Amino acid sequence: MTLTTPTPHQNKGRTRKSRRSPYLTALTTARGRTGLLLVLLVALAGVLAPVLSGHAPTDQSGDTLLPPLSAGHPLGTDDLGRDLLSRVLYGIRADLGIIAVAVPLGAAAGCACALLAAVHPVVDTVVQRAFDLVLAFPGLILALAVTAVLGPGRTPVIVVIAVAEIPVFGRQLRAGILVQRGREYVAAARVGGTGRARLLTRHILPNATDPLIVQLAVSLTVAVFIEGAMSFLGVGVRPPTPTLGGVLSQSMPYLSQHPNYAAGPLLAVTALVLGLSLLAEALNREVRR
Amino acid sequence: MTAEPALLHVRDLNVEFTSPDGTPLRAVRDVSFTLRRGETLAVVGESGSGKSTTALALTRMLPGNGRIAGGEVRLDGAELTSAPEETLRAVRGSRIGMIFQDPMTSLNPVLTIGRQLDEVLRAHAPRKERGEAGEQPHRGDSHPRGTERRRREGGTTRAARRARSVELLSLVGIPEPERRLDDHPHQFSGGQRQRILIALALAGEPDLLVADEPTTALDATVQEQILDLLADLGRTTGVAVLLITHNMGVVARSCERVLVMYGGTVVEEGATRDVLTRPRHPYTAGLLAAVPRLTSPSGTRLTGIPGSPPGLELLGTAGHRGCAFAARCTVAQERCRTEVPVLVAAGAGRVACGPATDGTYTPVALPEAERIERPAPGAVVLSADGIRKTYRRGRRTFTALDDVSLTLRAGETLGIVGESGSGKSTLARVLAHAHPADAGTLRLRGDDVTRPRRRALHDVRREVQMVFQDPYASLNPRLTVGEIIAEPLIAFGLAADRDERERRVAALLGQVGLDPSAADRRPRSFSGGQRQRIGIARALAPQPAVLICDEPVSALDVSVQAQIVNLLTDLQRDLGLALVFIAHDLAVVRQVSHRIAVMHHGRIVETGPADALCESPENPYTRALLSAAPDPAVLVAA
Repeated sequence: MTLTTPTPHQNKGRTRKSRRSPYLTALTTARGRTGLLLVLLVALAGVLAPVLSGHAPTDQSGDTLLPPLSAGHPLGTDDLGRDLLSRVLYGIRADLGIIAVAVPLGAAAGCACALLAAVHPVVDTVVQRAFDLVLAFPGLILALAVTAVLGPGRTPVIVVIAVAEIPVFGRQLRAGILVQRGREYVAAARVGGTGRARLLTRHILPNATDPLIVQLAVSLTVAVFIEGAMSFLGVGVRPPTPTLGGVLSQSMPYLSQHPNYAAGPLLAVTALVLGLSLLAEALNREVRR
Repeated sequence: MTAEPALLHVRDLNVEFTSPDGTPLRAVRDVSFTLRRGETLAVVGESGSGKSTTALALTRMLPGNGRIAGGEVRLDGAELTSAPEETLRAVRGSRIGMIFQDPMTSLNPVLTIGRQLDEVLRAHAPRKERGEAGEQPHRGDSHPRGTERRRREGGTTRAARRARSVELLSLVGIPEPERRLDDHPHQFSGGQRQRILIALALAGEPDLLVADEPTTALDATVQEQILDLLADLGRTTGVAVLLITHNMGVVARSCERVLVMYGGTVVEEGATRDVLTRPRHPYTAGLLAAVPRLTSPSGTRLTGIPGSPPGLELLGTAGHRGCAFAARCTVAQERCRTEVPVLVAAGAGRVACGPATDGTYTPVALPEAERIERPAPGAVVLSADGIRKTYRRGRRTFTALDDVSLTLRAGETLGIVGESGSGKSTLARVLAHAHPADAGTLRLRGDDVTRPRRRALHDVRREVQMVFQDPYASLNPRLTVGEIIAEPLIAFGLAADRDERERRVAALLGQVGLDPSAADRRPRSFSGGQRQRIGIARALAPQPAVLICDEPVSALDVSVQAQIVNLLTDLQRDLGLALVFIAHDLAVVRQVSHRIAVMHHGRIVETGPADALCESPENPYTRALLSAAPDPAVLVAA
């Protein structure tokens, strides 16, 4: 008798709607849309740099420190007569190139460490102490140390950002794994004969990823700052290749007379960071629902 | 008393929630009731019936996305739904006190009980003076004598507040109140904490105490004491009690009147005795029949209501027509699906059911329990001998299982009963090899499987499967139902390819009474009862010989509980499964089990055939459990 009491499946449309990924839902909120728009604008500017600017970023003209809206130089020129618009656009390009490689690299390495730590308590302790070691160094000290070994350039910046992000992602995922491990469905899967590796990859990991997606957006923001700080201190990408931090650093001596010099890179960094932060916040709210 | 107007008067109360996609969902519609001073009224209903929402709406404590969409709440004539926030703050605590479900998390763990009581007394006393007498607070004024004055003093000096705290603690029956005042919450038991919460709610001297499932988290023996306390308070202090519960037994024990809610509306109201003995609404009748009775002998079928309680989304404002219960009602007529029934006077109470009002439906008396044909148990499948399990926390050890021995035969159900902390869940997990035992031996068909090697463990797990308590937490939310059920098939290599796996999953879903199309959906689109069916299908996937059910129905509504229990017994009959059925409700356990083992403090204190154990218990603890079980029929008859 009881075998013949399937309850009717109501509201199929509703179910489908609620099954939509929280990430997509987050992107449709006002916060998410604004963030996405800002990030896309900045990214597009960087990607389309050769199309948008008529000059190469290292081309020098005779006119130094031209004001904005000069003929042929919408943002003016810098102290060496280089077109500021093209320097900012190519700077964005260089920045995006660095963070888009470094952050996922750090995230992947961090997650790999966390998974390794989940295998055995001894490994866990080792990995945790290694994380502590990295975290014990402030980002800039780490940057100086890495540059001292590798010399300035693009690669050290990527390495510094990646190394700085490893413990962040590693700890995040480890916490997630610990929480999910205690859940009843994990016990159910274990009683159901699921092996340890499968338990980790099929059951625990997918349920622990939500905070990682949010962390990715946060870390991209941090990466923009690290790159900027390294270039600003002169241990980052080597001149004359423009980066946002580099252009900003070069504008410093002229800040009082020619504030427009610094305005371009500052605006770009602000828009990028604001956009990423808004995205992170939108994702966070939706994921925690 | 009779000349006095009602203390609380609720008329046509409507509450709406805004769903994430912006559409309003009506959780409570047109609820009306009154409550006199000193009266106890029970609001009973299943999950989603709107009972808690109604209670929260009284003091406008609805969560952020909820709002009162209409109606009025009058407390002593003062309208609350439109009152300013300031007025409501004065009402909360000092006029209407609240007690919540979980006594474990409702007290601040770092403050002593005395401090927490003191804070409430300090917060309420000055405001009360202002509200009551309409005068400025006279702090440091000369204190007139008499009980009326003592109340006011409560807010002034520390010593007076302490004295009042002691008084409150002794009122709720905490022994040695003066000494216990300086204890922290963790030094009290669950029942005592609920008493303290009641004391906190009484500190503001409210006229009305709203208790939302105050005993749901407590064991039966403690529940009894708390219910007695609430009933006493009504008599001694004149406070009116609004008790929200899903448990008919609780209603029978403690309340004069009862309000039955379903799908956000009141379906029946009346004196407890009338409603419980002569229910007028088919839902009330069904709910009463679904309550397992201690008197039902072993091997009988539980009665339930088909289907599951409606979700909020079903009751959306626009599309809702007809009686909310019509879809599950066995006597529903055509008009029930089109006309919304009105609550009309019937006898001494009120009922909202067309057929019941015009006499085309008369509820039948409780149906006689139907016997199940079940074959005699076969050979011993699983046996445990001297099982021990201790947990170590720091230096302290806690013995969860102490010398537990049991045997289980094929086709037999062994019921395990005990209160929280008795070790029943630990036993389930040890038997299912989710945790290892510290000492003792486990035998599966005579082979020692206490500490199996990895390969052997795999084989043991295939034979011994488990159904978990919480149908919400025990299913991986990221996987589809098909994937969840297929997991054991993959793990044990039981299906050659994808096609065969899908066929087996569909067959398993059919076996547990679900549509095969369920395989493509995720757990969240199913109700609690349906999820438990999914959990059972998963456990059946590797064709086990033993199924360990750890409180499989305690998270389910009572009308759905019968479906799951009956499903388990049918499966046992068809597949010859050996079942371990763990529960805290003796009545359910008696009906499903061949034998019962009673656990207390990690030991089995009594074991025997189900009927014999319930009718002539030998152990005093078993007797206490039996007498504490709230059974609506027995109490009303008494």
